[in-house]
Amino acid sequence: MTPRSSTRTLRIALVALLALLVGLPTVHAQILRLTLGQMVERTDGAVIGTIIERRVTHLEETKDGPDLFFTTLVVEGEDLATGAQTKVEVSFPGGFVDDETGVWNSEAPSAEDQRLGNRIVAFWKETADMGGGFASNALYASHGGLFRAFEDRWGREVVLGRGEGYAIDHNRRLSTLRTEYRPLREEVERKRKEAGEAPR
Amino acid sequence: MRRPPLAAATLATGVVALALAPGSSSYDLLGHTLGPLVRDVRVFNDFEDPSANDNLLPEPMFPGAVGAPLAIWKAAVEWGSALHGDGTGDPTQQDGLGSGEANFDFSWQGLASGPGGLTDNTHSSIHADDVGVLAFAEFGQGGWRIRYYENWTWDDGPGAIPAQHYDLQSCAAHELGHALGLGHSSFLTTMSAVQSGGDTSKRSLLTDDRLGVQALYGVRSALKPRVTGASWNGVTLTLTGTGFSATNNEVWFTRATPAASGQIPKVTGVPSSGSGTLITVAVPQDAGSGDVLVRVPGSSGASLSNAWPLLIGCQPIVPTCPTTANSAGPGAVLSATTSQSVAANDLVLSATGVLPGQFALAFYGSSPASQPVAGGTLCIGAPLHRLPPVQADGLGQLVVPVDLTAPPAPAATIQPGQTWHFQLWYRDPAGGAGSDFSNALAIPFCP
Repeated sequence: MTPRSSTRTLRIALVALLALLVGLPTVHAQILRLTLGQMVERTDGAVIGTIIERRVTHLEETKDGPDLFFTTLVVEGEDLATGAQTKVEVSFPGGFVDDETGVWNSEAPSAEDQRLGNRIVAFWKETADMGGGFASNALYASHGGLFRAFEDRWGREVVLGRGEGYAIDHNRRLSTLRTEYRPLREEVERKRKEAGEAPR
Repeated sequence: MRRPPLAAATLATGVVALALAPGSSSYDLLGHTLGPLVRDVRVFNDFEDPSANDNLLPEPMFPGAVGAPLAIWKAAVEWGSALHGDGTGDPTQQDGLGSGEANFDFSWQGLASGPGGLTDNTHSSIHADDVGVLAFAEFGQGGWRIRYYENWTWDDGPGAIPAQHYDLQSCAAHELGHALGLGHSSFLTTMSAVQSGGDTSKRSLLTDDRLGVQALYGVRSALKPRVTGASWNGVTLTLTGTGFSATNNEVWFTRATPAASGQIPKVTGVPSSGSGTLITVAVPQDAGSGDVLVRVPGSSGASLSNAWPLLIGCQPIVPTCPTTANSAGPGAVLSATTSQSVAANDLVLSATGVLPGQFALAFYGSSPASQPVAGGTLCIGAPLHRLPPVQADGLGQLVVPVDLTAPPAPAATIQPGQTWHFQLWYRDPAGGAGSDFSNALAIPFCP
């Protein structure tokens, strides 16, 4: 086996392991069971992009008790519906300011999933109060609103599903996801407009 | 850079997935465990939904708790090493509560006075907008905190719940699993499922959950002390069981009053007798109804016994059936003032809404019933024991002192540990049937 082929085999194995961890249809969590349509109804947008920044906010004393932590990811990429360039901040409860100060949260995305440089699809909802008065775009359903994306051998981007009960339940090409997502988003925006809500 | 081919990755994934055939384990370990000193559980009962606190029926195996705290206590004992008392208390779990069979037991500490910090082991709600999450567990340095988003409608059960409600007990069981060190399972278990509205199925541990807690703390050791009985005579607690140390046992209690975090009430340096099968100890002042555990010398999880229910004082008085309207208004309302202590003999029944100047009879019996009689409902089963007749005043109020030392019949003697049902019959000449009944009360009595 040549060094090149062994590296390639290792990559395949790693991706296989990752797909196994995040893509089997029996992975669940203590979050809402959502279809893609329900996710779109409950959120204000979705982005496909790269995590370029991560920071953690520590609220020491709040109306909801002491020591609330929120992680914010900055995702740079494209709006999933329009393809327009965008940079979105999405937040979820939990995280560490440093090695000693912070909290692990059971429903947060895994450390692997929130790594800088990852390509992700993130569903977000503008939220005035995520707890303790913290306002941000919530990563809706916490880890259930974040899906990893990879390129296949032909350079097509594939979004990894998280299993039954998640908005993206099985792996699908980004182009397919866009095709599914766009009319759902347009329908939601149309209904919101009819209801007199401000466009998002 | 050339990316790994997804097709090959998927194929490899399939091969690995096939290797994980049904029957294998799929629990996930988070990398932490809880030492015996940090297994306390308390609830800051700030849940706002009426359905989160409308289960007011006392459960004999969960003395002193109703509503949300009762639901969360049940969730905690389900992770326990052995059946909690006789295992009853949840109509949805035929195999009983206490299914972990590991060297692990939570110590129920009752109510908290606030949501607590990251290591205060407290359940509470959190007020936030919809973020798509039902609840979460946080783990800090040596403890945890569990929060339930108040934007959902929580329900304390105990049986089936409406489809638009979320089951507090199921959610608590899941989050407590995180607290003790389990991640999400890839099987459909307590630690795995998305909690849909109306779903109560995640209250009960399945095999994968049990294997997970056993992987963390070990299968329940034969040396682990085990409590099999507890009796309290008003002063002294007697515990029966196995595996107690000859000397230096600790007896842990539930705290009687809410605390932010607080120490577990305990008595230390306690000897046992009967070859480690019997402990007698005075109950400390700060202990209340809840659970009792015994810890033998040692630092492992196997040094702490199972949790056993302990009633200190009395279960609360419970209304068992409503009053019915009479000719003058919405009907007579019966209430009771009492310490519920047989020794104190201080039971006084009183009623309002009776017809002014009319005679009434209070009566009691040992079993509930529901039988339409005259203008109302007879809520007590035979035999009925009548108290002396009384006359309502001009406002339709009356008082009935009950002398427990002078029962109307030997069979009507009230003993500690018994629950008796009380109701009032009264004349209503203008009513169609000529008489009516009040509501009824179930009154538990203590030493």
